[in-house]
Amino acid sequence: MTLLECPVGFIGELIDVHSSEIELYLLDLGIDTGCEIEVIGKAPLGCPVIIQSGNLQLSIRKHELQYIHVKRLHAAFP
Amino acid sequence: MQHSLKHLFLVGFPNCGKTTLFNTLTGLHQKTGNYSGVTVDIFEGKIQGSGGLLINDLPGLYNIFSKEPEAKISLQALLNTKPETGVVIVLDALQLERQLVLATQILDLKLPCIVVLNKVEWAEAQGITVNTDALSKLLGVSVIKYTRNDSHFTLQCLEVIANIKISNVQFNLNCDSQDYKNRVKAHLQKTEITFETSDKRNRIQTARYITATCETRTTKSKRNSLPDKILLHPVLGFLSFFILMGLIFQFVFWFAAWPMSWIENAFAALSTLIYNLPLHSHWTGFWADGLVNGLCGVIMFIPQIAILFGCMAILEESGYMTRAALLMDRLFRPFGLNGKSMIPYISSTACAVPSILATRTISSWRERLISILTLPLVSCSARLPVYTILIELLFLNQNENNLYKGLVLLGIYAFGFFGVLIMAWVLNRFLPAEPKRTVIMELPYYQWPRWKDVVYTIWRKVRVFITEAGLIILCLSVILWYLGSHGPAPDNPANNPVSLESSYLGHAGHAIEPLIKPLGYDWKIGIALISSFAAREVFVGTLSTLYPDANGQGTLTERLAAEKNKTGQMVYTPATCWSLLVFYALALQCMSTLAVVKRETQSWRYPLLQWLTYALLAYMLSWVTYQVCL
Repeated sequence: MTLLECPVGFIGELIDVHSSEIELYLLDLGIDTGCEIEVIGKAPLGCPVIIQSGNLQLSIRKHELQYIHVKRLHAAFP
Repeated sequence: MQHSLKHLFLVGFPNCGKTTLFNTLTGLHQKTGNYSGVTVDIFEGKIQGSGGLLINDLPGLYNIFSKEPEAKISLQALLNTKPETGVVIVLDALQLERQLVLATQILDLKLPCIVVLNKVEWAEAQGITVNTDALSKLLGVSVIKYTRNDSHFTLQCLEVIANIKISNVQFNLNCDSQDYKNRVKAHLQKTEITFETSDKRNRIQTARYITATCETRTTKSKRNSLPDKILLHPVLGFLSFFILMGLIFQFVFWFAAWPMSWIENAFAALSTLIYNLPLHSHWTGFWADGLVNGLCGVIMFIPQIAILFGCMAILEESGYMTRAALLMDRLFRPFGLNGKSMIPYISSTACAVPSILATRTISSWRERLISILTLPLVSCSARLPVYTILIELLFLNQNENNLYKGLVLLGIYAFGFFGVLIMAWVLNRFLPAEPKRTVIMELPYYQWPRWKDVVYTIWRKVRVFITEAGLIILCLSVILWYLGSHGPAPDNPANNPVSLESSYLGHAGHAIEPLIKPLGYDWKIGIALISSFAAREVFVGTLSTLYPDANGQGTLTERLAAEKNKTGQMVYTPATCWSLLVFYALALQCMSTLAVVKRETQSWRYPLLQWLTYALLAYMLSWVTYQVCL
């Protein structure tokens, strides 16, 4: 699934990024496949979305979320 | 290996504390370097007590493959170093792992390097300690810690620099050092995504290993999410945003007014002093009206610039600026603007000059250009005296009705903001799109601003303004003074100062009369239009010179209202006043703004185009207004 489909509170693992530009940018931040990603919030108008990986918080526009593929990690998540 | 270094480059991530370090090493002895074609200030200074060792504060970069124009300057500098150049890599101890990727890339370029570990005390407060000896061993170069209140740091740093060396460790094992440098150089010309990706992946692994070896974390640090819960809240977030913007507006508008009036009074006193000197009248005019006035026009901006940049530095340092951008992103996107543009627009109600300088915080050049080009449409405080007198004229017979006056004033401000939105939307449609870029933003930790750095920022901005835009403003105001006090009259061989009517400006006013007649203006208004190019409020001063209070005819407004043309018709009819209001709301009648736009865009193309566009727009809409109101 892509991050676009993930609600706030979702915790997952990064599998793949289908945009080399975004992939390279995430690598700059030290985020590679296998890293844990949590959707922690949204801006008041619904976009951009705030995600967290490690100690980093990032704001990403919805348009870019669709390229980021993740796998659910948290079993407790409904 | 000993090196005889002459020059150092300071490199690191944006916001890793390079500038703080630079200020510590050089004190106030710094100057801006000019790099052609790019609007970025690169500061150069001499390290205190080093006997002339130069150091450059290069723009921050995340990676050796960064494509931002500013990062590319740093890259070019690193790839084309001379043998006597060394590199100081600054690492933020809070984000060691991430920053080591860049550090190992630079070390692989095989330049003489040292590493300075910054923000050590903050890291320790969060339970992170870094073993510098182990780090030094793994990186193959010296590593020193920098703490804010360490008075011996410069000495210690110089000692380490004396023993600077090239790392003997190769981090990317897939290519040797010369090969790596060449591939990075080639990458600048043509992007090779596979090389870039594999290099970054490779280094992330190395960085993880190095961090695991050198870093100890006692407590698992957790982000404090409370500030964001409030500041990004759907209601409270916008509320606090607008309160903050309101505060900045208050500071720039009202607080700056005091020092500005002191400056004005001081220069007026200086002017009077010069007039009382026993000099030839020609020279007193030049000194008192040309030079002193021009200088006053430059110095006058300093309080606003200082206050605005103080506020912005605090917002930027505290980490709020990114939240502001996040909050407003959705609203501003259709106009090609960014949440960060809000601050320049707010401060532009005071003055466009500091606001245009403030667009520096907008990282996308396209968004910045849109902001720079539309900012002068916001009605600034210099337009207020013009609006006031025109509105007085409009409601002359309804003296007690202040409500209408207030509404018109409000309307004209709204008109300006509306103009900004339309213009920004149009520019967004038609400006060439930027090469695709991700707008992923990192939300930094909230932290208290370092006051010393805030002061340094203010000092730098003021200095850059005076040395670069100030000179243009000074020259233009001397030229305007000359044109306004000298005339082409043949019976004036000594070229003595003449009255405004018979000066070059006066003649120009006459000359443009046919052009401005359709707008409802006569040649006297023409003179006022041209002379108010120095600053819009000069309009009022020029009018009072043109309509002298000869036999006690009362206030300027009454004198203007009584003015009749040759055929006995009123000059300042409501139609003319409305038309002038529209003209002043739109026209870029401000040489200081043009000077600053020239400085910020590094070319005369944008200021001239901008001036022309707004002049045409003002002309057309004033014409429409005049025809409608007639």
